[in-house]
Amino acid sequence: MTVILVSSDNQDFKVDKEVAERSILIKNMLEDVGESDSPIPLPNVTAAVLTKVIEYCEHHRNDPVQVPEETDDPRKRSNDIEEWDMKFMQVDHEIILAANYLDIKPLLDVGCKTVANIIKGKTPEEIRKAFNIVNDFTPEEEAQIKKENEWAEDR
Amino acid sequence: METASLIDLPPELVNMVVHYLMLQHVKICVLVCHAWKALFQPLLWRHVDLTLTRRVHRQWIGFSTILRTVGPLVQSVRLDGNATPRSVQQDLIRVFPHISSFEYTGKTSSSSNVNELIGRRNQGWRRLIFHCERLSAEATFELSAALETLHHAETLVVLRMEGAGFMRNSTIGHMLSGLPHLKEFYMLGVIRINTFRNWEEQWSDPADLVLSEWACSNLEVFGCEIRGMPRRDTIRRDRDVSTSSDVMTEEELESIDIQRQVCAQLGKLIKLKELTLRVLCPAYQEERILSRLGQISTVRKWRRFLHHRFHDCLAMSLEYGLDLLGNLKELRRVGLEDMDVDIGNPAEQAWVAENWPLATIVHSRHTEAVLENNDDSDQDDESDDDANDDNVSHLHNDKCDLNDEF
Repeated sequence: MTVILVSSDNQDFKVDKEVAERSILIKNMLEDVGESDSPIPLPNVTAAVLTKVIEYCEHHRNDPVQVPEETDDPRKRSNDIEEWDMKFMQVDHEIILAANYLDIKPLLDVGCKTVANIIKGKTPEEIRKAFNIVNDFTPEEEAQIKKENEWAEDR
Repeated sequence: METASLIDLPPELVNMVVHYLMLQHVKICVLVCHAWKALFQPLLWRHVDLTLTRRVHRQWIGFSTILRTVGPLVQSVRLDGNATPRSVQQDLIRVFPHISSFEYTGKTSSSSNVNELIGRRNQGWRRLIFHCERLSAEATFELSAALETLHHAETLVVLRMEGAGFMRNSTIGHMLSGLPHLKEFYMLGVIRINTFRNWEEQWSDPADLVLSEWACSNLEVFGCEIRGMPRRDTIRRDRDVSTSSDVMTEEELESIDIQRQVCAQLGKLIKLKELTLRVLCPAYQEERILSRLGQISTVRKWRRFLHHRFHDCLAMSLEYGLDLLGNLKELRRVGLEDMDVDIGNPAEQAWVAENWPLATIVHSRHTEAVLENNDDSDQDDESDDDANDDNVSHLHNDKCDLNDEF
């Protein structure tokens, strides 16, 4: 069984129901409407992004549905991204926004971990380069911030 | 990632990213650009631990200066009554105008400061935690503070007082029925000397606990000394009546009734994971202080008081209402501290195994040594002091943070 997803720029995507249902948003929509052939509009996702998201869901179609967070602290562990996902995530933040909107938790997690990994271990200058940011601090401001934040301590 | 996209993400997604970062990474992020600073600086300062800064005590002046800049970002503060300078403690509200979570440890604090802190109306408290370890301390949380919490009913999620001052049952009842969003209510306190002197006037009517329906149906942690609960065995002991008679007096029937009323309320807290009940006792250290002061007659009175009154806790037995707690299926830990009626017989244990499948029952004894001393040495008040040390040194410090942030 297939469903038709419509991107914000009005492109139709024919997708296996099973694949589309990796998105909890779509899954809930389908459940609400019941048996129906009418296309599902996704006004917050462009065709370019939707292509990527569908690619992700195709690849992960057989993954077990994610169980709710295990109780041990998953915090700060971001080195457990699958290789395929790692390559896949070489895209911009729109994927994260789409994953959030479509409620695809595993994709959202991978996206956030990827961003975190880009940041980790870098100097401010390296981060600026990675994210294409211009430094708008004066040296005095920079010194002041450093001084302030010296006091911030992990809990 | 090709663009400066992070600032385009809504805050909850930035939080998800930060979830995977360590403090040192966030510190670097703040230095990237103004936009990133605006994004990350608040996360860096969401929680301030003023107990850790102990080791740099001499640099307090520098730190206070910085706090004046970042103070408005702070939502949660932990401080140590001994280590954090008085000036900072007194200035807390001004330095951290948006604080909603407060944790206090240490021996001394002025009650008026605490009252002022809790009494703030500009923003609701979410978490209030006091660990006041020693009885010699001034109580940090008392009746007036307890009543102030009711002004924060809309926001208060965690209310945890270890070493609170004496609470009347009516006060406890007010809090339980007036704070609907509570997830933690942990009110294990101590009796102070001056309270003890007036204990008769201050004594609590157990009916006060159940005057109105408890509102806190989301409670996951409940710890309390429920006091003044008369029971058949204690009534008979007090009156020197033989315990063998099976005919119950009206007074005894009444006592069962009130116990069951309290249990019926407890039994509605179906999300409860941790239940701690304790008798009114950890007052033995108080006794040591009195001995030191040479107030022998007070000590004697105190001991009589202990003998007669400290058993008046809630009874954990089927007769008195244990059977009403059958819906507490989520219970993980049941701590019964110094309880003399504490799920002791096979029938009760079988009931527990059937009804609380996940629970571990923890019996702790802090008082036995004290009572033994009381039994055989009424004439000697000084020498047995130190024997009790081990029993009282750490009452309990298990913390249960359900609302960890950052």
